Order: sequence, then C-alpha cells, then structure tokens
Amino acid sequence: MTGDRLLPEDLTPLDQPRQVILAFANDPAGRTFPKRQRAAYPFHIGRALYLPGDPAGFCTLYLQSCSGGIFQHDRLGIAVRAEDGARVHLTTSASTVVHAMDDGDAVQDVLVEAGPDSLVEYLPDPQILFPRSRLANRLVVRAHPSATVLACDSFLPHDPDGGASPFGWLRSDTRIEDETGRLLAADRFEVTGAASMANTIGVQGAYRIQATLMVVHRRDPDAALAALRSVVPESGGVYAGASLLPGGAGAWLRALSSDAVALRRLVRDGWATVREQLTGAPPGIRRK
Amino acid sequence: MTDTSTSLALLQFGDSFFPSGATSFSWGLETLRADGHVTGAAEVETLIAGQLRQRWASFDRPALLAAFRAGADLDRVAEIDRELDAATLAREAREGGRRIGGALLKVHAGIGTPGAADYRDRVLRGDASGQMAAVQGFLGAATGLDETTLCALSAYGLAVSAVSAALRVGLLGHVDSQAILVRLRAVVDEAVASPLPAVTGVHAYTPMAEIAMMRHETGSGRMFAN
Repeated sequence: MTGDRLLPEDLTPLDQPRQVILAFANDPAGRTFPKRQRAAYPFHIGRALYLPGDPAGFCTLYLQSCSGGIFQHDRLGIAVRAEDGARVHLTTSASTVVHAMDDGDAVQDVLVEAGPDSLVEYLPDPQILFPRSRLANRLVVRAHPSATVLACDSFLPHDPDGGASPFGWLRSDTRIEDETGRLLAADRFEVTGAASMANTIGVQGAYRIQATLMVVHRRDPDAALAALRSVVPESGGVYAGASLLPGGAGAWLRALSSDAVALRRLVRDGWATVREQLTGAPPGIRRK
Repeated sequence: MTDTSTSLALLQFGDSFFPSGATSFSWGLETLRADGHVTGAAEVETLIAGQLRQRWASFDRPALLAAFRAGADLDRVAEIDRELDAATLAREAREGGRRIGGALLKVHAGIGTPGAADYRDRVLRGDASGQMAAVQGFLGAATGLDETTLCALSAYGLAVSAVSAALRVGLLGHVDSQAILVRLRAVVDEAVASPLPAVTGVHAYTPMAEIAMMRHETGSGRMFAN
C-alpha cells in the first residue's frame, strides 16, 4: 500500500513534509501491520513481510530508494511510529550511496516513535560517502519507558575512481528522548573526509569505517549492555566497545574497522543477541 | 582582578597541586596503549592534538564559555550541565567529567567561591550532574578569570592530564612531556579560534578514544579511572 491516504495529524507534527510516514499497530491476533503508510519519491516501501524464524506477527519492511542514492539538495524525511505492542524491523535493501556534490549538501531526518511495549528495529545498511559528498543525518528516537528501539548507523568512504579523494563532511545528530520529548542521550559528531582519513590516533586511527548500534531499552539497560558486550571482539580487525547510555536510556556499541564485512557482521551479531534476549530467538535471515 | 592576581589564580587552578582529581584520568590513553595503538611520544602527541581539535574545541569549550557567561545564574548552568552529561556517551567519560566537576565544587565550596556550595548541593541532591566543563565555566566567572584565561586553563588541563598519564605508563620522559606541551600551544590557539557551536549543538568526533574508554570498563590492570 503506497499513497497519500495517511492522515498526517495522526503523527507528531514535523518541521517539513516527510516522504515516508509509517505507523504500525497490532491486529486483534497480535500481528503487527502497517496501519498508515505513505511513501513519496524517492522512496518505495516493500510489502509487509513475516519472515520464517521471526516471532509470529513480527513485521519486516524494506525501505528502498528509486533515485540511486542521496544527491545534493536532497531533503529526506522519514517518520515511523510503533503503537502499543507493535514489533517491526525496518531496513534498506542495500547500502546508500551519497553522491559527489558540487553545490550544497543533503539532509536525512528520521523520527522513530516507539509506544508502550513496542519493539522497533531501525537498521539501515551503511551509507557510502563518495568524494565531495556532504550529508547531515538526524535521528530522533522517542521511546516509551516500556519500548525497545534498536537503531544503527554506519558510514564508509569510497572513491569510485579508485583514488583516495575524501568525502566533504558528515554530520550526525542522534537524540534519544523519553515519551514527552525530554532529552535522555545525544550522540552528535561532525567529521570532514580529510579528518576521517588522517590516521589520527584517538579519532579514527587507520580505520576507515564506523558503525554504531544504539539499544534504547529503558526497562533494563544493564541487560542491553550485557548483550552488546557479549559480541565485542577482544582483538582483531574490528576495534569496538560497548557502554551504558546516559539517562538510563539503554546501551550502545561503537566500532571502527577497515573491513566492511566484519563490521556488518558485528552489528548483525549485536542485533541478533538483543533480539534473542527480548524474544527468545535470533532473527530470521533477511535476503538482500 | 589585577593582572598579577589573574596570573596567580591561573597558576593556582592550573597547578597539579590544586586537588581537582584530574590526574586519576587517562581519557582512553591507558587502553589505547594496552591495545597497542599508542606506543610512543609521537602517538601521544597526535592523540592529544586530536582530542583538542575534535573534542575540546567543539564540545568542552562551548559548554565552558556558556557556563562562564551564565555566571551566577545557576539554573542556566544546570541546563548546560544536563546537555553535556546527556551528550557524553561513554560511561567512564561521563563519570570522569562528574568526578572532576565534583572535586572542583568541593574545593571551591571550601575556599568560599561564590555559588560553589549552592551548586554542590544541587549535585549532591541529584538535581545536577556536575560535569567538569559546566562547573569550571561558572567557577571561572566567580573567581574573576576572563574567557581567554579560562579556555587556556581548560585546554591545558586536558593536555597536561593526558601527558601526565602517558608519563606514568612509561610512554614518555619528562623532557618529551614538556616539549609536547609547548608544541600543543599552537593546537590550542587553533582550537580557540574555531567556530563555537551552541550548547545544544556541542559535538565531538573521537570514536577511537571513546571506544578505548568503553573497553576500559572491562579491562584488566587499571591504573586510571578511564
């Protein structure tokens, strides 16, 4: 179901129109379904999937871009709301290329609202930053005390000409709020491509790729931390750590590596471990 | 305050004899060394320069100056403090900032610095976190420092605590340490001239040091508190 049938007043007022607006609810049998759905260019939303291996009624949705990535002057907005008890996994079908920009920049603004006892997994694939790309990411997670939200972001630089030309800059602003909008935790960074690739110890060192997994789990932050710590490697090509978030918001994991496959595996393992802790079983396989 | 008096205040508050507790913290260096990422003086210097450019300039400094400008408005200081605490994601970095802020408040309450005892009460009641930069900022105003002097004190405090940690874990000698502090003055000059974000927009990009502090939580052989 794609179209403009959504009643925007059903969702939190937004600063600007968003191309994607989704609201999930449970039917009387406890099956999560997209109650409201709007997707405008450049986005396309796949149909709701219920994958083998996932708990009954656990909804998976793929968010796809028809445009081939993020371009200069793009202003992309996504809003997701999970109502009482809804359980949903949102992901992309592939990595997102952030293209070279001769003028201006691009903005992607995501709002995730998680209602009582809901579980939202917002786990997009990495953003690939081309030379001279400039992107501001904003993610707001607004969570009820009984909700759980997993959110990841990762980025890697890539020069399609085979050189080592740096991206322009990346700004990232992640806010975790309680159900009233009060700030619990904020992860805010700005990095230029040159600084990212400068081999500075303490910044990125020789690593080229960063991934972050937030687990907003106000009911039991220590359990979320234990799950994340169980997947942090002691040594090897991935440098990672996990810690408790401020404000009793949950736990988080950050990792650096130059091996995209290893980093993706770590994020997947973190997600799977948290999922198993919450539902009793690891997630089913998602084909991409 | 007269110039001599300002200089004396700077000497006193910047001296390792002043009991701020800052020497208990390595800000990730201990683990970066244990993990084999820092092996000598050149890397220590790169690490500290990176922290000054990518964290102190855009994270600590805006909060420091906002709290300085808030002066005796302790409600405003508490807002800045809250923002800083929420944006310090690695637990040991957050607790380190609180411990140093708490130690500063205790000493300044003891020596009668205006506002210190009141703000310490807020922290002890759990109404404020007492993050270092917020506390150092309003105490700077209360003790008559100017903004330039306060920034120098704060940046020097970060640099000297990291150099001192490196010295104690055997990465540096005394002369190396002092030479690094001299060279870092140019980095601090650059950092204080960089754009100043609003307190609600403070940002930092030091993921490797952040990861090191997170790994420190479960590491063995801990000499430092982070």
